[in-house]
Amino acid sequence: MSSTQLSSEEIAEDYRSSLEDLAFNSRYEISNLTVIAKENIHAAQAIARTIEEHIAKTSPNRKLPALYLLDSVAKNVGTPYTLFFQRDLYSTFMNAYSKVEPSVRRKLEEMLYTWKQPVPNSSSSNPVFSSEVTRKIDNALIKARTAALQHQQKQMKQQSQDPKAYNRSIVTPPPQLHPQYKSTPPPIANGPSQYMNGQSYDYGNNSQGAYGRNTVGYRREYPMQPSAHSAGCSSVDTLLGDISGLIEVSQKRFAEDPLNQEIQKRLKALLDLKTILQTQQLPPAQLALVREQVTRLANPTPPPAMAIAPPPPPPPPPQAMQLPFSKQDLAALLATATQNQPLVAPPPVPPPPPPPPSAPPALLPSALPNMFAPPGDAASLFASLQKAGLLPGLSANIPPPPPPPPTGLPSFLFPVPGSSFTPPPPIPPQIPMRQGKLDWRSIDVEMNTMSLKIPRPHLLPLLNEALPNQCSSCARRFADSETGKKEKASHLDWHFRVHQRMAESVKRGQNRSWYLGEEEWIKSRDDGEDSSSLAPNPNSHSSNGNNTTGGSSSSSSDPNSSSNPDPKDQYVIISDPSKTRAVCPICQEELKYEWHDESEEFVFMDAKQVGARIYHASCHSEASKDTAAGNLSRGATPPDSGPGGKRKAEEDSGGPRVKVKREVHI
Amino acid sequence: MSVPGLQLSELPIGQPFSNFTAQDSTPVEPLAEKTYEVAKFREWRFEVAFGTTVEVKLLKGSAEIFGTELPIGHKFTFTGAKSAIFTWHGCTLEVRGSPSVEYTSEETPMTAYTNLHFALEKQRGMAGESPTVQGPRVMIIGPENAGKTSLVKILTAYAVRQGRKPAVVNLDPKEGVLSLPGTLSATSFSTIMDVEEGFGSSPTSGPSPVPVKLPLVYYYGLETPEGNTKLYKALVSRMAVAVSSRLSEDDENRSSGIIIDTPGTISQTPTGYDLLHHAISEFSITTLVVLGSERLYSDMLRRFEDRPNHQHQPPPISIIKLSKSGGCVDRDDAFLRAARERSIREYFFGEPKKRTLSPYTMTVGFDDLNIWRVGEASTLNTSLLPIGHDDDDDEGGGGGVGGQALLAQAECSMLLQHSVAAVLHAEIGDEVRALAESSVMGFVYIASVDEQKRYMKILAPMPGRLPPKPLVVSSFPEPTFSLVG
Repeated sequence: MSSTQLSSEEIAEDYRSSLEDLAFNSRYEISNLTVIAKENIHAAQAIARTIEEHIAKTSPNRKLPALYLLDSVAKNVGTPYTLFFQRDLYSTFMNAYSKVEPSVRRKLEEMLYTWKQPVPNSSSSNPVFSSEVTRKIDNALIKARTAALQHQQKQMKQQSQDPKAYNRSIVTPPPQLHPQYKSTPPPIANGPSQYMNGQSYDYGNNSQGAYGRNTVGYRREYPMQPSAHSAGCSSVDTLLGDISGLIEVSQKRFAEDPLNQEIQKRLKALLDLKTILQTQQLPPAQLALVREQVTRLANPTPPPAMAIAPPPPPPPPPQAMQLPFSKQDLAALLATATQNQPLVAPPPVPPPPPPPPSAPPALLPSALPNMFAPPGDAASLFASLQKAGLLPGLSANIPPPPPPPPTGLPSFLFPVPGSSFTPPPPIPPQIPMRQGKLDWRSIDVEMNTMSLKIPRPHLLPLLNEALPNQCSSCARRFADSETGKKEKASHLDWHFRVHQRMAESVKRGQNRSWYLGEEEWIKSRDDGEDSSSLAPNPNSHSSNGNNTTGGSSSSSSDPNSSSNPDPKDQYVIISDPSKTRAVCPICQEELKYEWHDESEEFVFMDAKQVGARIYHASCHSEASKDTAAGNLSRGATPPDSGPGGKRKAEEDSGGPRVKVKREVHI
Repeated sequence: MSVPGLQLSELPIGQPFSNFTAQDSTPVEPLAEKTYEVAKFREWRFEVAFGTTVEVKLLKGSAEIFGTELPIGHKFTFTGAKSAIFTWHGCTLEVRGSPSVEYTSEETPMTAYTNLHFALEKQRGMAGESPTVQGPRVMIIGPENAGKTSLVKILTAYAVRQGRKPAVVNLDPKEGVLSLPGTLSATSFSTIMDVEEGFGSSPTSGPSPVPVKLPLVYYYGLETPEGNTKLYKALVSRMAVAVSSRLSEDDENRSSGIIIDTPGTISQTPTGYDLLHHAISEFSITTLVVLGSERLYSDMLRRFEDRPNHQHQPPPISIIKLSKSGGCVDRDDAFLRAARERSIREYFFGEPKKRTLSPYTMTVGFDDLNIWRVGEASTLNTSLLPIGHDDDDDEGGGGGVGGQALLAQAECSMLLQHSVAAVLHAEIGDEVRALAESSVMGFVYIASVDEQKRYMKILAPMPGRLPPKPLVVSSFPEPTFSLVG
């Protein structure tokens, strides 16, 4: 292209036609156009207008490269272009912003962020564009986001009321500001590959460009966010291809260094990941994250600045990600991520939980529970990735995200070069857990005095955070797993039963029970909270009825068991005074109702309560002789005298002669 | 006091306590309310005298008392307690009442204690995977008031929190675990411990808001192991067998191992070292934790360090030295005495305001009773005997032939009045040794003795006749007068 004095109009016309070819993010083309813009600086005004018009007119999928050009010209050439762009920057930017899809918006926001910074490697400390203009854009973005969030919440509410509508809306994007866009194909369907092969306009590598001027390395390893539309089979296939490649690499490295656990873990996680991808339909949000991670792994030499240690890619709430393309979604996403507030929305129907491939559900920080609302695929996938060190650790040690820039924009989307962005600290050793029990192999405490003195903050979560599910009545902790939930449910049942029984037991005096004997103690199983029923308690067994079975044989500490030598001595205490008659279901004769001296209660003598029914103890023992015989030996103490009908004799000779008087119960 | 059948005074009988007087001089403000913010890794330590109560409620954050977490919003009442609330993440406590002492400490030994837990947890994990490997068997030794029992509580609570089932063995007769003072006990812990009661409580006929624990109890009846070394050793051996059997029956118990508390005196005398050595080998201790004593630590190193060189010796013992918590305070005799009295009262009558138990009084004729007394070093001081002498004669007959008797038959007399007697599981007519080693069914309190009419009134925990079992009395815990009016 000749640089002889052509008229501004001509140059602009040429420039326009060149712009038409700027279909995707190509560094070559953008550099080239930047050079032209610089060479024709006398026609700056016309060129700037051309670029602006192009941005306004071109289809949404071409807006991003065009804006990249604008950015490149502004940064590499500077004035007077910046002045010209600045005039209409607000409308140029906002117009484009409103028409592109969320992933592109994020890039625009990144770009906007750099505009607020001084041009890198330049002596001037002025920002690329004046802060007045950028602030105006920021404000507009915030406003739009707020409005959209409200809208979104309303929608969510409706959806939660009508599950069908909700499901439908996943497929059909909610109404949009610019419906015309819907018909256009996703602009960046082949974006990632372009982006990765170095052809793209890369902010980070721009220093190698014609002008040697380093622009801000704000290229984030955000591969093109696959939307629900584009996350079809093809993207999964490409992803699988990438993963297979990585697996090969890892296998080679593993062969070279078989003892390296790092590689082992990585290889295993990759294989797991592959299996998951092959066998299951992942929601696009998760695919996006996986892809992002894979992309990062595929680039062993990360671009300068940001990609060294990206902040934990915020796993966005899937419900926000699954509604594609709308401003609302973006807004919700941002709002959720920044405020960490759960949205009032049902989580999307999670895919069937995979056979957990060594994917421990624990160690997800309790501070981010809503991020992982749907258990199952996502959680286990992330966990396994984390375990292998493929994902940055999301453990509790992650510092809170740095305070958002004054604009209120989520900071993680705008990695600030240098200052405000700090990479997360080295991931502490991840402790694999199984159901709240830590894996002992990972404990690095040795049993010696020196080792015990070293503080190990990374182990502490195992005591507490790893068991986040806490009973509110007694602070007992349970694992955040299926088993943990079951355990907690039965634990709460236990509380409930105890509560009930305590209310009942107020009516009746309680006693300390005898301790167990050696044999019994050795055999006893204190199975958690049922242990009370193992104790030889006369009253504890029949708590469901209003009658209480007791025994009169003083020699037995467990009168309720069938170890009682004489069924005729068994009785059932009647706590309901209106119930004085009962018929034995076996012999159809009436039970003997009388005052019982020892217990100082009215009782049915020779009686035994089984469930709700009261039998003659003798009838019942006859009827259930076989089963009872087995239990005979289980008494707390062996009968001290011969069995059966010898009570009189026993009273006279064997046991101590005692008179019983119950302490007055106030 | 709405406890039946007794006129309990809120204040224990006896001399007023020194810290009471201090308490009394402060203006009487019943249940002054105060809120404390405790920063993370700090400990709010407090002491509550007997006769006063302090209510503590966790408002925010997380907090634990000796490893047992406090649920948010629940009120816990403390009386006669020297305790500490530790927080990992910071907490807000609401305190009603005036603790006699309270302060927040920045320095806690929790790092080392927690690491000890994790080191044990590692061994438990190892044992959990191989049925032939035994779980860790840790014994905690140290001088009096070094925080041994507190450490046992913490280790137990953490183990339980992580779903383990450790067997907790108390070899310190001075304080009972889940039972009266004067007893030794072994308990498998699988449920959450009691914030107020420390370990929890043994079963009653009624429901319990905190799961009850089932202790295996033996009666020793003296304050220190040196009081009757022969009986002490016999009981330790017996318990070791019982606990080992339990561990071999229950796989979770096996992998979780044993945590053993010991008396402070055992670590201070040559006789004590001998007893210690005996207990360590009986329980096959794998880890010996020395708390708060450099000297004891080096003594133990000398004694056990080169053990693997010996033939037929079990695997070496890890000997750990841990520092004493700054929160450990000496408990004077009056405090301990009041604590003993309370534990006897609670055995029969339950914990005030939480659980009311109804014991039964009964009259028993002298002829129906078979009473034994623990042999005491009243006639012969064991420490004067050559060491090892009392080990030689195995049969401590009723008459106390050759050294100290395990048990001796006792006459029913006024001497028994106000004593607590242990009801044995053994049978009348069993050999003395069998009686001495028998586990305990429970306790009765001898309320009064009528020598003329030859009967005594006793208080039994359960209704029904007194089981025809041998009873054992001794001098510890000392007779209490306040139990039954």
